[in-house]
Amino acid sequence: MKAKAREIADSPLEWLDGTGEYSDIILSSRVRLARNLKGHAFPWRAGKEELESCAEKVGSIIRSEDFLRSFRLFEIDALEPLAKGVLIEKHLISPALAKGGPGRGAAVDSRGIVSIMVNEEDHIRIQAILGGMRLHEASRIARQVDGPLEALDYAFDSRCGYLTSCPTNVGTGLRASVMIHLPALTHLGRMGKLAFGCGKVGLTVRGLFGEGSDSPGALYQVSNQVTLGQTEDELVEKVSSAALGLVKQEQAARGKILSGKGIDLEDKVWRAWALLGFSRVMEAREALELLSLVRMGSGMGILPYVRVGTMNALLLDTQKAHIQARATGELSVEDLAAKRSAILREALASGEKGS
Amino acid sequence: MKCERCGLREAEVHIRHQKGKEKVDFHLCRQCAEQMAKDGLLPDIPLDMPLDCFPWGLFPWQGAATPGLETDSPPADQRACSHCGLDHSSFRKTGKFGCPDCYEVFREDLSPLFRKIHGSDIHRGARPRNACGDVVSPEGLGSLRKELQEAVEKEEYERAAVIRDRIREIEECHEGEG
Ligand SMILES: [Zn+2]
Ligand SMILES: [Zn+2]
Repeated sequence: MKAKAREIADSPLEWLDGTGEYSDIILSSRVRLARNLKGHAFPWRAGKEELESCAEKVGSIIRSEDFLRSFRLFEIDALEPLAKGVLIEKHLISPALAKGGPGRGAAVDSRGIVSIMVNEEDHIRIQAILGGMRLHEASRIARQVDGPLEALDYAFDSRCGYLTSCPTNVGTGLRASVMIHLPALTHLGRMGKLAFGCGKVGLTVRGLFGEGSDSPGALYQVSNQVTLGQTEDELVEKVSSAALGLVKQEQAARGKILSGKGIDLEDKVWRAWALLGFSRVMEAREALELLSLVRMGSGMGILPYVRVGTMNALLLDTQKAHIQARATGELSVEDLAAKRSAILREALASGEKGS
Repeated sequence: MKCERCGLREAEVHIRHQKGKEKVDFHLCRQCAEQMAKDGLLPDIPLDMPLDCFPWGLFPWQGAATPGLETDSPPADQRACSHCGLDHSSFRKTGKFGCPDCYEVFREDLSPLFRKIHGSDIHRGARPRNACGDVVSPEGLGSLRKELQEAVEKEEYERAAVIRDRIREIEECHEGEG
């Protein structure tokens, strides 16, 4: 049973490699397109037969089209919970889709760039994720996948654009987002104001992990708020340029902290390094916060160099389902924290040697 | 005063945040304030505090209808989608369409709703290659022409330009077929 979860955990995810511009600060660029089939009720309002018939239509295109034939198809209800957990942690499916039900499925390409979710909020959700600042490229890839699926006869209206279940996605159906690491700006207490400024120009900034008043690990997602009234390229460009602006501000904030009480910053990142390198028990949240400090310290040249790819991989490898999938037997809460700590120690020790 | 974040709705939540010498004022609509609070982006507001601790009443609307749908338009009527069965009041309540046909059935609600959410009500992006066949009926084209005229009269030139482009595209499309 577990073999499948493990195999999914070990399968590649292109963005983790850390290629792409500014990949030390911008972890990934993602574009998703929402599409629906003409003549079919949207998933929340469709019955079993209709959901299955939509899934079958999408599946038949994926199986027959040259470009999509190599995609791996998953039927959500046929997956064990652990495998679903791994797919969620990899952002290849959403928690909503993982709840399963008739006709719920996903298709993923072999390099871990594209995933197609079937019968989530919309009949089809195409997403492409690349590392670093590569939103325009991700957008091109998503459109390329969209091409052959068009044969299914999309619900489209020349006035409203692509019709979606929720009015917040109508028009282009396009959401462009970057996952961005902003520890210095967070430390200086600037995120509220910056998020607010982004809001004014139609962008949403949200903490990636936290629920509540903070964002552990200083990881944020910046995305377009509106989907109607602008072209795909305009929307993508807007998120791109905001993300680049944030990178510049983050770099300036790092310089500012260093030129102020630099010794405090050095102390803080070295302590994070020591904790990751020598602890024996590590909770998920603590790992996230320490990895954030080490990522910044390494990026600023204070700490030994660690490959961006190594740090990206650790973000996933230290999450619950990933650890569980690779372990033999069921792990207790204590085992999990101990295993997480071991993974971090080994990765940083070998990462350092490799530099 | 309009909300500083979305610029669309009235600002109802006013927050003054003081950190050392720096002072920041936020003037937000309820939806934006709620969203920012949820995302942890309003500075130093402990979200686990009991709600009545907020002198500015940050959450008085909780349990209110779906954001964006409390339009000033008349109350729900008898319309219902013959394809999926969604009626007007359910559409208002859930804020979701039941099927593509719902867009046609509730067409007159869409313009104010989309302008509220997106600041626009006309698609300018890509279209499927095969979309030409079902592009807007002759009546639809007529209503677009009427809107163009209205936009010009109201001196909303940017909007007028968008509508004009749309009409041109549709005309070309029909010529191609003909
Ligand atoms: Zn607002
Ligand atoms: Zn309907």
